[in-house]
Amino acid sequence: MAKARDAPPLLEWIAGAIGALAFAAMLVVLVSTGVRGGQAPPDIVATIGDIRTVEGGYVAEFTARNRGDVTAADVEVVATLANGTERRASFDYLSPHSERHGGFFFEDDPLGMQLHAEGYRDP
Amino acid sequence: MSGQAAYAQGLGRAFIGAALFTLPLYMTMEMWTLGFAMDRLRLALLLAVTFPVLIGLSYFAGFERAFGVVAHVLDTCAAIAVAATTSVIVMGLFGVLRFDQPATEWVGKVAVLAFPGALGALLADKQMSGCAADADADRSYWGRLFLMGVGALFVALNAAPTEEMMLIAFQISPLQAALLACSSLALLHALLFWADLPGRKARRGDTSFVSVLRRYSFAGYGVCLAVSAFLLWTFGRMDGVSAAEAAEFIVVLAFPAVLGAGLAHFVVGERRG
Repeated sequence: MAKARDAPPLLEWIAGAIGALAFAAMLVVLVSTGVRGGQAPPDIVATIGDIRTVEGGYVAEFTARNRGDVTAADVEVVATLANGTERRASFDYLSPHSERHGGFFFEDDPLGMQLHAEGYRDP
Repeated sequence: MSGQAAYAQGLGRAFIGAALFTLPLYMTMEMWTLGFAMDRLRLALLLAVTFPVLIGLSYFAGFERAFGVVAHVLDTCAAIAVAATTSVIVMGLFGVLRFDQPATEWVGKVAVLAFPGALGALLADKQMSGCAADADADRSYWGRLFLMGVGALFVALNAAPTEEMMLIAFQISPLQAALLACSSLALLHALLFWADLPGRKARRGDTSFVSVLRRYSFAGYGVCLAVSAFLLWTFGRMDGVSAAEAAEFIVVLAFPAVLGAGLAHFVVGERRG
């Protein structure tokens, strides 16, 4: 980006300023989350979304949210019906304070469905 | 062409370079994971190290004579701007960055790729604009070692996040690791000695087999080992790992790093003839 010249053109100052700002902002966010950020373990809450009919039964959509401060890997979410039927779904990663969506398939209407996260490992 | 127009053209080349150097990493799953999962302070350190390394590259790679410090700092800042913008656009297109993700996840994913992107931006502009330095003969000993380190850092960064790097270390015996270390050293020496570097004959001092080995190959391999260890530690690969296993990780990662170190001269501002 440097060319033979005396004074850098205005555009160079603008590009440089944007880069310097981006660099400083990234550093500030990383250091502040690193220093202040809590170390609360993954706290995974699964909530039931829409239940829709599909060919051959039902799909129960759900959202898994990690309310902890660290990433959870291989998160296993289990759905249990009143009649004892179980379905499982897993997520490779749930980053802190973020959510992922999934669904469970059932032949019958999933009445009285309960969700819970079964476990995770550190990434 | 006016200064502004020439600079805009340079920025265009920089975007192409940033995309070229980071595309394999944008398409590596472990890289996305590291963006949100790796230790924030270690990521901050990786980012912080990037800045002086890029300024050094801007200095050693070809603009040593005509420009002042301000130009190198401005170039480095512009390269980071280009890298960050490219990352947001490409990872946005790939669905790696989404609006339902927290801001810290975005920052992490962009920050972890700042170095290769900015490196590509700096090099592309220089290579494609044809103003690469042809002054290797004037380059100092430390300048050459520094360039080896940059090459090693770039190639090792491509390999370090992958699961395969650890699997290779798990499936080789300590003897194989020792053999790999010797092979790496031999490869580096071959790259530095036989793959005749332009300007080598013009270098001051002895360029015999033993002299190159003593001054460049051993030192260069040391640089590769150090860079590999730094990256593995940064990515948390060495946490809770025994010293022997950690040594194998480093040796395995140093193998690709050696290629980067040995070929850095060709990529970074040397021209034949």
